[in-house]
Amino acid sequence: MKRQYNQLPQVAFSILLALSLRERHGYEIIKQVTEDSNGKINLSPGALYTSIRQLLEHQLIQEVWREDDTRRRYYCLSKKGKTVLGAEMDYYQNTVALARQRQILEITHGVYA
Amino acid sequence: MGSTLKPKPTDVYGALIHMYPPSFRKHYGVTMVQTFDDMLEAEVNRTGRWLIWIRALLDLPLSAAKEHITNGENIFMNRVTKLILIGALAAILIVGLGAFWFGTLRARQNVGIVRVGVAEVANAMQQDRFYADYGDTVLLFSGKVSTVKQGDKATLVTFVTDRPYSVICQFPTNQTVKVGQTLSVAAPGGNADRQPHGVLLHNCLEN
Repeated sequence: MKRQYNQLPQVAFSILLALSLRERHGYEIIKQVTEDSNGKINLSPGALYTSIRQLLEHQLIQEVWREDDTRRRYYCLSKKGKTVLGAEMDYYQNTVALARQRQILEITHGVYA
Repeated sequence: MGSTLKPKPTDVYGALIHMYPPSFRKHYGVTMVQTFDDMLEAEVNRTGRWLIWIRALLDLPLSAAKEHITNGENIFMNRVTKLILIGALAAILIVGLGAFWFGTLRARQNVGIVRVGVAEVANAMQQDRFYADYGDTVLLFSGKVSTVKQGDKATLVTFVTDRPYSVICQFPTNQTVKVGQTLSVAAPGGNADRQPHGVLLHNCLEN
């Protein structure tokens, strides 16, 4: 079976996650990514748009034309993007379940320290 | 008056975007500047704006270089990119190993390690060819200990030879050596003195 999960670079995954709720323009994506990562990922426009270009090429996101804001480009998840993000989330969900089962999270969070 | 001549942050950022390939700039240039402007607009304090600038300036050359390298290709790493990278790494590894091997070889040639007999060492000094033969080398030999003289900080060990000349080794540490024992020694040939009946080798090490 072709592997469909855990293929996305961190930034690409974060952008897909940021677009999972609704369509957003560049700055909104940056804000959402920062919020989702608890401030650990602070994107600059350069990193954002190089990733956006790749995601568009892979047809994981698509541009949305907004009549009310023609100055900015908006992006939303494509059908393929939703599938890939879902597969990626499944992978992480399984990983977390496994980590709980093996009590790795407790160890790393200092329960046994 | 002066403030009207001051370039706007977006103008500066817009100029920096020329680091990207033209195709990328054409498609995303305006929207990148807009996003950067949105970021600065939303930031209320001066430190925050400085941070945005610093991050953008650090990110620009990296992401621009990435765009130039991939030149429109995806960086999820296609097979060709992977092969090129692996090839480059293999080349670096081969060159590195080759340089290491060559360097070690040269170092060995320059230092020169010579395995000799005790009598041969003593004889070379008496025949005035010690420095010519062993001056740039490290001598390795083993022999039977005839006398041991313990000093405060050093030990002098004399070896038995079948010649009238002897070899005396000076160990820079207190050496636990017994008379009659066979000892293997490494000694720098460049650090030797002539003695009336042999040669004194300084800074010897038990081998």
